[in-house]
Amino acid sequence: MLQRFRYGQLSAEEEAVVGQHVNRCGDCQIMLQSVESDAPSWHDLATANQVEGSGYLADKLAALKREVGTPTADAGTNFVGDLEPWLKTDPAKQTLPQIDEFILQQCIGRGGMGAVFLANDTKLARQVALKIMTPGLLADPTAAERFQREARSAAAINHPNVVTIHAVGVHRDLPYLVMELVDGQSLEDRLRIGALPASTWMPIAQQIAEGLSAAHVAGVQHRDVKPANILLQTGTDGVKLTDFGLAKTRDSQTLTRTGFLVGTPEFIAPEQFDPTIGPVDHRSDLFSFGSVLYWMITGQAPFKDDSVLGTLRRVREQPHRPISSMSVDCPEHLAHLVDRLLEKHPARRPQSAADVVRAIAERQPVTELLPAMDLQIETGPPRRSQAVRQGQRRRTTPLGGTMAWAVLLVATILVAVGVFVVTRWGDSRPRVQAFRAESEGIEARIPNRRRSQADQDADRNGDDGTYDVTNTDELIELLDQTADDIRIRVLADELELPTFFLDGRDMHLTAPPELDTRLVFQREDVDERIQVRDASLHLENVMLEFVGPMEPEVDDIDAFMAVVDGEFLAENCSIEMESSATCFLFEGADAELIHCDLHAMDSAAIRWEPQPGSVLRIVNCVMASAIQLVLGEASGDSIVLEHNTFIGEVNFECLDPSSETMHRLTANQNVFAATESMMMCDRGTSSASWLRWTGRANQLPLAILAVQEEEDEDLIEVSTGIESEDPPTWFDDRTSRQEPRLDGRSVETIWEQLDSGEIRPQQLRRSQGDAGDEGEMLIGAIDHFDGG
Amino acid sequence: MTTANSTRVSLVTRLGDHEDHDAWAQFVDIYGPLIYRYGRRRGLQDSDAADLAQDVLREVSQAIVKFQYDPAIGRFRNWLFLIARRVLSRRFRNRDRSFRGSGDTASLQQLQELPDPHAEDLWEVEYRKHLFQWASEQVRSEFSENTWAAFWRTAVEGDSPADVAGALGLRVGSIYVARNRVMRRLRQRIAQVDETLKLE
Repeated sequence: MLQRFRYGQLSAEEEAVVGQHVNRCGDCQIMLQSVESDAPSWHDLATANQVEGSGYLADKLAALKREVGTPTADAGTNFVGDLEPWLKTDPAKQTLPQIDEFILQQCIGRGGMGAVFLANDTKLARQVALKIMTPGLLADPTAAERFQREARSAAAINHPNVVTIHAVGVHRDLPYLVMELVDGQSLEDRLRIGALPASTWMPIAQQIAEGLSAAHVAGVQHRDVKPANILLQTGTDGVKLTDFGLAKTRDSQTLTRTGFLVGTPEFIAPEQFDPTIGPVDHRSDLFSFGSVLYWMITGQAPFKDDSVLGTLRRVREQPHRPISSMSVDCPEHLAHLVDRLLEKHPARRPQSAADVVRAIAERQPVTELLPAMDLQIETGPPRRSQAVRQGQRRRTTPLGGTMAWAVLLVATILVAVGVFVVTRWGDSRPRVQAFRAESEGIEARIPNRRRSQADQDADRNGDDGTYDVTNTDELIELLDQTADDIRIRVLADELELPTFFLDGRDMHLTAPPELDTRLVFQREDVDERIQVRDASLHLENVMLEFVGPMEPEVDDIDAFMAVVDGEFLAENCSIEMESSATCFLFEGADAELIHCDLHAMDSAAIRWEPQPGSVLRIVNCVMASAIQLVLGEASGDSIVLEHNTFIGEVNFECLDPSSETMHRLTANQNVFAATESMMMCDRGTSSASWLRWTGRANQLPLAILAVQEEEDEDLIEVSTGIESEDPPTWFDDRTSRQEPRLDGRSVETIWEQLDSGEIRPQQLRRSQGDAGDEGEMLIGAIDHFDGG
Repeated sequence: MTTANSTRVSLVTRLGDHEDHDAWAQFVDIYGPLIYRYGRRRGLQDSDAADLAQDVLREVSQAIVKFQYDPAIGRFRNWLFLIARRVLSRRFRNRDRSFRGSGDTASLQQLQELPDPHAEDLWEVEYRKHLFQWASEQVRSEFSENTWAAFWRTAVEGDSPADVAGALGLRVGSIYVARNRVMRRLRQRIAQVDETLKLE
């Protein structure tokens, strides 16, 4: 007890009692003295700091506080926060800030995306609302472009129930838009005061539907229909929708900043966060519209839970409580309409806003106006073909990788990883769009990827176009017999791949999801290889294993698989590469690895010899242990790494960079947890840049990137988003001495287990759903920057 | 349903919420002087060090909003150090470019290029000192003169509790009680800022 007293380990009450005792007890005092020699010494902590801050420091810090922490209370009175540098005026003249012909009079609101000002249009002598993008978004190079693009498309909507956009412009890099000034309040503000009279429900619903309909006809989706974006005009019954399409502009940080997703996920359609439900389209707006109506009528959100995650789960899984079962005097057809709008599956909702407009106008239950096809969904396709169809959708859409990623994420959500994930989740889509916008070369190529005839046949005939094989002989026979594009399904746990040459015809090789099918390509000689030329090889849902001798000389490339002038796509595959061997050679080909894991015991290589315009995409993959990506001579190719985890010794090595060599690498949201150097340029013979690195939100817990023996700074151009001017020394730092722990194990342990075969990389990826609530994150496809 | 994070809302976590202005102001107050001092120690002049503090904190705020700091991966103070060092070396470099050849530059260049294995340890020490001193200022007024003196003289100046008891006219048990109270409060205050910093 005395010990604990001495070390301050007692509760305050106990301590008081013991203290009083010690005050009286000589023995205790002596005993205490004897242990006092190891008294805590906070002496060093208290040593005076030699350097004291100056007035200059105080000024800087005060400015900094204003810059970031401008209280919202300032809104309405001042020109605020981070916009200040953009809105500088000459203080001597005492003028208000001006943007082009608009004089800003008052800040009337701030959102995650921008600030809205009451402004005077000096040319037309009228009051307008001017929304200017928040400078914070400039960190995302595509945000400004998206802001403008969306503003322009919204400007194309000309309808009394949509806030008119007068102009779109750019003021010193910051895009802005000029809108009609609506005198009134938002539906949200109005509902906070109290319920709206029942007589207003129909007119409001009607006008929202008409506004949405006009937008959808113009090809614009709102994506963020919620009471805050619905304006009720003062003095009239007019209703106007605002903030059209702008939700797309938002990036993760703004979602968090506004707290929209975190705070009010009640209005999101399920497919907006779970891509398995269906595509996000105009019908997503209709769902949100349904939630708005429900709230307006009943005073409560249809899906509401204590937590964001809980709410989203309800949105996705639980039926809402029908209005008809509540003590609300709501016209039956309106209640029915809301029920239909809130259908989980987009196909069961009214199919267009125009249908809704008619249903409201005619006070008819909306079903009677719907086409008969809608009912077909009720029975639904058979389960098996559903899986097939999903697979096809993934394969044929450029968003596939992200979708698969989001599906995983959804699974993880249910085990309570945390609110942060939700914000990630919400932004998966914008991110892909951003990526597509910023990599024009890629955008130009990927959507054009030709769908193989085999794919199309299969689409037409269901499973009929697919050949089932159970052993190698059948496969060989099949390859011999047919000369066309071919789809093969392997119905076996293991199948040995023969040496084959795919010349000018496409092949899709897959296995049923319930089988862990291993495809083993075992060669006796370095000359044996699988060759693909001017064709597409698509592997899906298989484990691919390369076994055999390596090339005798380093410079010989006797790859196990060589793809020349064609394309290679591996999706949901596990690839075990042979040690010290070049397993893949992509020569003038496009290659895409989506949702795969790659593993090698010892420095297996993927060799990338691109042509101008070639694209290598590695998305949502785990690259574990020792893999080298050898970048050959290139010009104008693109390498895209997104949402991957690199663990072990994963090198990106550049061979013989010449003055013509320049790879463009875009790396977003990867975890570089490799313990060896990620970037090496071991034979720097040229001072020209050989890699232009553009990255965003990557994590480098252990990585040392950019080791250059020649110490030539210019070999790698790095743009990280925050500090584009930084040369690659940035990557030399270890962000932490503490290893990231994955699934409770250290990276080191995982690596050892992978090497010993105790675990498979696949398990790393697949066990993500089990992420516990200790904040431990698993390595893998899920980006886990969000903290635990 | 609660999130795993709910029990660990430290100052750094709160920074992620840009609406939390108090958190930001407090953050600037605590870490601004620390980074300033770090800059001074690395040879920056007054105004340059103040600029450094500003740049680093600005970067931190942006990075946190973008989730570039993950508490699961490393301690905040190591991460902060990393940013400080990076911004500092950028400053040196920029200066290098503009003043190439001057005598002053040579020394700066040396400073920059010198791999300093102790830099991070030094940072750790400075960090602890700084937070301790900051917390002391914060909680000092919560205690009476005697309570504070009992703590200060025994825990900081290393006097024996018996001596201090005599000097303050208190009994020795009360000295312990007082000392522990202050230490607890200091630890608690520090934990609100950085729960990973433990004062033993």
